[in-house]
Amino acid sequence: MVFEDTVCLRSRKTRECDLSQIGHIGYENRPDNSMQRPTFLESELKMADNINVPRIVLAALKGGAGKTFITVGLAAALRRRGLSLAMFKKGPDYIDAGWLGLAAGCNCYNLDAYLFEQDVVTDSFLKRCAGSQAALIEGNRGLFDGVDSMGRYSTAELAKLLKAPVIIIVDATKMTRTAAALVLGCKVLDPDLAIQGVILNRVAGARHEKVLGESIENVCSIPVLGSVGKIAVEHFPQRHLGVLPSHEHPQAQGFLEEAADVVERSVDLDCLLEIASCAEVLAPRDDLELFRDKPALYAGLKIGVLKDSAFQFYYPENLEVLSATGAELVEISALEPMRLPPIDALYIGGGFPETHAGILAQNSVFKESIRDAVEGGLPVYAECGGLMYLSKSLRIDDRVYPMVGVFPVDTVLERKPQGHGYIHVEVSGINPFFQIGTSLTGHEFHYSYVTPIREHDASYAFKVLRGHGMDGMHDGICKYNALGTYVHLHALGAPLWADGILARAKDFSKGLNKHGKSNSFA
Amino acid sequence: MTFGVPRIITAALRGGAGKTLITVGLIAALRRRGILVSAFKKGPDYIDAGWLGLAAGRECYNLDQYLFNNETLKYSFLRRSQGAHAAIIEGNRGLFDGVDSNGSYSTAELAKLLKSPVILIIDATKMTRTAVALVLGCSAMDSDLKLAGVILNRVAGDRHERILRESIENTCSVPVIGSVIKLSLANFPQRHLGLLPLHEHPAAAEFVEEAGNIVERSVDLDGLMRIAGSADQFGSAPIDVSNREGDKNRSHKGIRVGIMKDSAFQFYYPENLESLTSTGAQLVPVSALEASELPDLDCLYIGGGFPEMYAERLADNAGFRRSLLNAIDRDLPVYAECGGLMYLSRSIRIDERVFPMVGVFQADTVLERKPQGLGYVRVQVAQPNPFYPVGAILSGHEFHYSSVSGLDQSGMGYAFEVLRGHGIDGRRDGMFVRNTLGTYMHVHSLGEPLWACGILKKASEFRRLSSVKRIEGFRKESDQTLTGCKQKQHQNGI
Repeated sequence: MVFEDTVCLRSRKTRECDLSQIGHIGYENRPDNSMQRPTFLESELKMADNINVPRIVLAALKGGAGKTFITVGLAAALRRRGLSLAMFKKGPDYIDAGWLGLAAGCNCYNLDAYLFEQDVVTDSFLKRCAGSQAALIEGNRGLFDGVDSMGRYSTAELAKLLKAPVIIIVDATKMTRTAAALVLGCKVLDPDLAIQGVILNRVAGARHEKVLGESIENVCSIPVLGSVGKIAVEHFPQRHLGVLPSHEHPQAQGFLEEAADVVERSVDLDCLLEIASCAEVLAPRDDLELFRDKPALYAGLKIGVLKDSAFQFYYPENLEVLSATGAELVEISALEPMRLPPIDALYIGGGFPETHAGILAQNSVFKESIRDAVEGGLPVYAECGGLMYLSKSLRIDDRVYPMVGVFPVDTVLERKPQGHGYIHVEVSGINPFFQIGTSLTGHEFHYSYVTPIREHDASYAFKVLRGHGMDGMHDGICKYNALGTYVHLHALGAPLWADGILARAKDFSKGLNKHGKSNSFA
Repeated sequence: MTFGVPRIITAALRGGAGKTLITVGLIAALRRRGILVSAFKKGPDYIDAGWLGLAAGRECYNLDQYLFNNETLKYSFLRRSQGAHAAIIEGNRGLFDGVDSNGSYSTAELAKLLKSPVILIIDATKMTRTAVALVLGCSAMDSDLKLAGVILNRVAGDRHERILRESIENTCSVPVIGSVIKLSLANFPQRHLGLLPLHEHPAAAEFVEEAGNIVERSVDLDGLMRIAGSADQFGSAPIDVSNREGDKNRSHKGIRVGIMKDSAFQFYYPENLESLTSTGAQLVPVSALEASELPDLDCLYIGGGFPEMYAERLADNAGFRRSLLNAIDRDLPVYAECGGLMYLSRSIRIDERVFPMVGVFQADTVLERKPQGLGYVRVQVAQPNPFYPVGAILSGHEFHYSSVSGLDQSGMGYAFEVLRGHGIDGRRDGMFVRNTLGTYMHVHSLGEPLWACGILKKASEFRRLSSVKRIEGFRKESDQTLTGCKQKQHQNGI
C-alpha cells in the first residue's frame, strides 16, 4: 500500500534527522514572559551550521475548514508529549495566534511576508525556533490564496520559503472521493510544494472516513494522518475561536485539553512528527540583524502598555522591540479605578473595548488621568481599540458610553466590518511619531468607524493609499502627543514605529514637552 | 442510433455549494429565451427534482445509475429529452462522490455515460486562487471527463471575482462562464431549497423567477449553450422511443388506483405513476387532509411526504382515517412508503405531542432530530407478502427522520430483510398486515419493474374478489332482511 511505503521511506529519512539532535541550538527560550528581553547566545547560534527544526505548515483549501481548532489540538497534544514547541501563525491575525500560543505554552509569532521583508520572515522564524523541538505554522485562508491572482504571499509561498512540509486539512463535509481531486489539484498546481499529509476534518463516521482515506491514498499517494469527527468538533465552543480572544474564554484551559484529546484520538502524531523531521535544511543568512543584541539607548524609560481583558492585541515583537533597547514596560489596566503610574509613553493596542464599554465608561479616575497626562504632553500611541477608547464616546446600538475624550470624534460600532485587510498609508501630516512622507503598511480589522474631525485642535496624519482607515482617505488622528489609528503595525514590518515612540518618550522624560496643552502643535 | 441533444451536467465539489439554485436559475433563464429544456436530476432526490421541473415547466426525471441499469438510464434520458432544445442534468454531491472509494455511480460517471460536458459550480467562499487547484484536480482526476466550464458561486465582490477569474483562466484551460455574487442570494430563501417540498412554498414561482434573474445577470448563457451544443453524439441501441409496446397493453383498464396526493403526501416519481397507468389503470387522487372518506378504489398507493408537518390535521380527519382502516380491514391492497408508513402507524410522536394516525400497523412512529436512515437501501424479500415474490432483491432509497417504536408483532409480518441501509431497525423493513405493506424504502419503477406489477396484480385480484363479495354481500343482506322480517313477524305474534 502506498501509505505504508511512504511511511517506510520517511522512517529511513528520520534516522538522518534524529529529533534529539535538532532544535537545541542553545539559547534560552522564555515562552512565559513576553515582557522580558529574550537572551540570545549569539556565539552558540553562529556555531550551528544549519537550523533544521522539525516543522510543518498546516493549511486548508479555504477559510473556515477548522484549521485553527486542529492546530490548537496538535500543539496541545504535542506539548503533552513533553515537546517544546515554536508556534507561528501566518498573516496578521492575533486572535488565532492567542489560542495557538496558549496551546503551545509559548508566544505564537506571526509570519507575514506581506508586512515583513522576505528575509525578515525567515530570520524571525529561525530566531523563534531556536531551542524548540518542533515548529508548527498555521497557514491562513486557502493554501494558494494570496493578495492577487498569482497567489503572492500565500501559505504555499510561505511553506516554500521556510522549506516546510505541508499538511492539508480537508473539510470533508458532504464530500467523499472528490476530496481526492482537491488534494491532487494542490499537487498539480505547485509540484515544488511538499504536500506530505492530509488530515480529514468533520468526518461523518467510519464509513465516510474509509471512503475518503482510500480515495486520497489511492489517487494522490499522500498519507491520511488523521480523521477528526464532525461530532467531536461540534462538541466544542468552536465559534469562539477566531471571535473571542483566548483570555476571554471562560473555559480556555478545558477547551485546550479537549482539543488535545480529540487530536490524540484522531491524528497519528508519530507520523506527523516524522514528516516534520524530514524538512529540508533551512540555512540562516550570514547577516542576522534580528539576532543581534542592541545597545541600551533607552535605559531608564518606562513605557506603559494597557493590558487587560479589554485591550490585549499586542504582537509580542512589538513589545520586545520597545524594551530591546533598555526601556521598561509597565502593564496597566484600564479597568482598575487608579490613576496612571509614572510613565514616559503609553501604548494602547487593539482589543474589544465594546465588550467592556460599561466598565471602561465608569472608570472616570483612570480616564481623567489619561486625559490629564495627554494634555501634559505624554506620548500616546493608540491602535484600533485604543483609538476607540481615546475618542469622546462609543455608541453600540442605542447606547452611548463616554470614553476618554482625547480625540474630538465619536466611535460607532457597526454590525459589519468597516475595514478588513492590509492597509497602506502615507504619512502626510505633522505628528509625534513618524516623519512626513514615510510609507507604512499594516493591517486593519474593525467593526467601528469614527466620526469626522470637526474641530481645529486635531488633525489626520495619514493619507490612506490602500484599505479603509477612518473614511477610506484618512487615518491617524493626532492631538497633542497622542496618535490614534486603525492601522495595526507590526514591529518587524515597520521598524520606525518603535523608534518614534521611544524618541518621544525620551523627550518627555527630559521635560521636552513639545506638544502638550501649553504648547500644542495643532 | 445516435442522438445529439445539446446538454450539460451541473456538478459541484460537495453538497451545499448552491448547485440547485443555479441549475434552477439556468433552466428558468433558458426557458425565458424560448429554449425548451428537459430537466434531469441525478440520484433519487425528488425535492430538487420538483424545483427543476417547476423551472422547466415540465416533469423533471431522476437518473440514478445505482437504481437503474445503464441501458434503462440511457433510454430514459433519450426518451425524456426527445424534442427538447437542451437537456440540463443536475448532478448530486461532489463530482467524484459515489458509493465507494472508486466513485462508482458518481456524477462524473453519469456525465461520461451520457457524454455530457460538465459545468463545475464552485463555492468560492473564503477562497481565491486555491480554486485553481480544485479545477486542476478535477481535470487531472479523470481525463475522460469533459470539464467544460466553471460557474463561481458566493463571490464576495468585484475584486474577488477578478482574482478568481484571472487565476483560473491563466492556469486552467476551462473557461469561467459565470460568477454569482453572494449578496444577490441574500434575499433568496435558499435554505428552503432542498428542505421544503414545492407545494409548501407560498411563492415557489417567484423564487424560480428570481433564480432566473440571478443567472441571467451572472452567467454567459450563450457560452453555456455553445458548451451544451458541443456534446458528443450519443450512441445507443436502436430503440423506438415514441411508441413503447407497453402503451398498447390495456390489461388493467378499469382498475382504480388511488394516489394519496395532498400537502402531506407528495413524493411520487413521475415514472412510478406512469407505470401504474401504462396498462390502462386509472389514477384517483385522494387527499387525507380534505376527503371525508375513501372513494371506491381497487388499491391505494401512499408515497412519501411530510405527515409530521400536517400531523394535527391528519389526526383531526378521523372520519377519513376510519374509512381507510375499514377498507384495509376489507383487504384493500395498500402500498405505503415512508410518510405513508408513518400515516398507517398508530401514532406520530413529535417531541411531547402524540397524534393518532390510522392504526393499521401496531406501532408508533417517533420523529427524531437526526435522520434515522439516509441513502440507498437494498432488501431481500424474506416472507410471503401481498406484492413481491419471496427471494426477490429490491433496491431503493431511504431518507427518514422517524423511527418505529412500540412494535406489537401479533398479526404483523416483515416482508424484507435489510441487506444494506437501515429500514425499520437495521435488519427488517416492509411491515405488512392483510394486503397493506408499509416500508421506509422508496422504489423507482425504472429500477424495480416488479413494483407496479405487484400492485396492479393485487388490485385486479381485489377487484375480482370484491365484485364476488358484493354479490355475496347482496345475497347475505337479502337473507338478513328476510330473517329480520320473520323475526319481526314472530315478535308481533304472527
